Amino acid sequence: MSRTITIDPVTRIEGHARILLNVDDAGQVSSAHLQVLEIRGFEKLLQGMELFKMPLTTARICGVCPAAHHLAAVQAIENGLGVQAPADARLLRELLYMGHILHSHALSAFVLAGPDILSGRGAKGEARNIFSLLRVAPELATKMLRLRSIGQRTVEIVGARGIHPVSVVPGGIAGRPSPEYLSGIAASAVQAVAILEELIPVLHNKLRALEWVEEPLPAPLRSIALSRNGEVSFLEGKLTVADQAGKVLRSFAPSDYAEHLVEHVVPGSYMKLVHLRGEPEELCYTGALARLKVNGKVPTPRAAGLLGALAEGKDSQFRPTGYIEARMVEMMMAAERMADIAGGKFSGGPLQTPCEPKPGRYVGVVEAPRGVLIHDYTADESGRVSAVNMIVATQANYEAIDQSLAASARQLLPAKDDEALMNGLEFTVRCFDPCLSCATHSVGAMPMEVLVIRNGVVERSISRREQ
Amino acid sequence: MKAKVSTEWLSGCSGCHIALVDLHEKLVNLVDEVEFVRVPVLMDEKGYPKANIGIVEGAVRSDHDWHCLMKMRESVTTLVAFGTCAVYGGPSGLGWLYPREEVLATAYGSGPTNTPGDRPMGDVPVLEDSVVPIDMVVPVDLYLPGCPPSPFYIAAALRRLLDSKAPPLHDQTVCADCRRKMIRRPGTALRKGAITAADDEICFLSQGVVCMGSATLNRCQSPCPRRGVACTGCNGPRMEIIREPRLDIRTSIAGTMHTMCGADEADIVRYLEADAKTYYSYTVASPAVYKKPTVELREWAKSGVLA
Repeated sequence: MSRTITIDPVTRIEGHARILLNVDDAGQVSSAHLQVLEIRGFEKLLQGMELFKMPLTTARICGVCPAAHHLAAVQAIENGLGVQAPADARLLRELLYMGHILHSHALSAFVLAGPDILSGRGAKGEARNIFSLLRVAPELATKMLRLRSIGQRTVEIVGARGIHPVSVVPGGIAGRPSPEYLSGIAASAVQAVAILEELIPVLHNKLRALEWVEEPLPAPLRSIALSRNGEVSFLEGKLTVADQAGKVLRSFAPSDYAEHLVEHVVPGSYMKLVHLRGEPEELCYTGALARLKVNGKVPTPRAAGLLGALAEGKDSQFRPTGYIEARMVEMMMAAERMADIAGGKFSGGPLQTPCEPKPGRYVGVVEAPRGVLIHDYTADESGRVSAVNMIVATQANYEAIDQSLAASARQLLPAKDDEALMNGLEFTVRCFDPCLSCATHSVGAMPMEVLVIRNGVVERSISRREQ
Repeated sequence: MKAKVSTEWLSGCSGCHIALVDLHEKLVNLVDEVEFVRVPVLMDEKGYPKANIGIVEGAVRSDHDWHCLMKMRESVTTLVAFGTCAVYGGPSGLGWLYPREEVLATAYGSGPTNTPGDRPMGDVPVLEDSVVPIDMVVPVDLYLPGCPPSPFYIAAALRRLLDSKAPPLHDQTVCADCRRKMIRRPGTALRKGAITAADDEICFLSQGVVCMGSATLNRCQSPCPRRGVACTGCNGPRMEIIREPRLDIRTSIAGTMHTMCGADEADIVRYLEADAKTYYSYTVASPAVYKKPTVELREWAKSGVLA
């Protein structure tokens, strides 16, 4: 006799989802599942479109990480054509992308999951959002929003638009921001570093004060991330898989991804999970935590300092809250790189290498804020896309999310406090910052309920839904 | 008393909600005048509390979207179709071109990392036969297209709504805020598939590159052509194209483009039809676009794939 519990919907994540708990006769949680409830089907929707329009169109898959799709599409096209963008274009792309990482991580760490951490676990639902933080701690909340604004403004200046940027084109980048705008970004980035130095300890202390106990996950999880010279890299490098000790298990060219990754459908969900191919298949996780695990090094001094402090006195267990800490390291790295690039020198050389579409296979990989993002197009004689495959970060985190949910539920369910259960499970999901817009190439949200099912029959329903 | 604002997201990308956050400091100021009672991306409110203004992002793809939209309509006084997906279907609306099984078969069965024959299983929301803009399901009071709507227009619209006035209807095209010079360059060839042009001072059309700016409503202040990337029409068509049955996106662009670069008008029209998925990607699901007398979007989309 078993039962199932559902939380529906999960709010403050990017997309429509519910949580389902399977409970055995003894009342023990046997498994947990995040279910994603929407699908748009971009693999079909993009078929027949012009190849060179992919960077513009695929950005619209996700309003949270459009820059990741924008860049993945361009990388795919350039890899397929064997074209490299000129030096200034590559610098500007990195500047845009670091702005994107700062925006997305600040949104996740401060605006979405931040209220859980800053308001504490006992806080009521109406107290756990950014509007309430603006009322009770206006100075802090304004700084949190300011950080995100600095990132997003950078995307807007370099990418021509903040949400769904357009400036990165096959072969380079269209146009260069004026020197005044660049020095503006440099000044804002220096300010972002200062804000981060102030906010990171606050978030750390609050995170510790949560006394959020995380039990180790039973199955061995592999981390997967791009790696370049053993350093965190967002736009270049090889796909690299490591174990929990950080030992590299495999490393392969992005174009070989299909030999190493496989997707499976999940009951009750439109999102497919991703496993590493092998006998047996291996479970994996991706994103900020995996990037630090695989690489162990970041290229900027302050971020490196944070990373060092983070590792002290810790074992190497996988913990969902590790994502929040990893994002802080990466936000610092992003702000430092932004200051370096925008405040540094450009050669003034060309911004585009001329190129034309050709028939062929086009595979590109970037590190989206949430992890490995793969775009794979096949183009025909007319320069149109005839087949599309995409793997997005949250798919590769699916198993890790489910296992973490089960671990949290095992602790929370016996207390018989429904509110605490729902808050705790949602917090676990938010640690991963899942982007369900991407994951099903879709998005949305629903009221939340928890269903307890025994032998396929709903035994109990816990709900925050308005009756 | 503060005005209550409630938001909902359907089949879209959440970018319109992020656009609200992108009001940046303006958002902080709004908190004094507005009480957000439901914002799924930011808050834990999971019901549908009563509100003065309802903001809906995304198109209607599943029975779940349909249900949420009905709840939203019942709970708010003024319903705003927020962003191009809600207004025209947007990129989500491309699903309108295909039977739902075809969309699922490609998304789940055909990629190199998929298992052939896989389909979503268990208790998932059922996809409607097609994708529709929200006014095909409920009455809409205001339309704010844009992918996403730019903070400038969001702030202007909210300001007027808070003052109980209808937002002004600006009728300009994207060309209005574009700095490029429109000059005639007869003898310039049509550059199919291009998104950039060599000369940053001259109109894309004069250089043989299809820019949709002249057929597109200005809800963006023209950032793309100003930076050097041709407009892809993400705000939807200009008002005249919506109002006039004889006008259409492709013929409107072809007429202007022929004047600017001299390329044969019929050639341009044929190209835009063969690439309908690209050039109608934001508006295919809207009857205001597909019900034009000579428009055959489903046919064109098929021929484009075969061509």
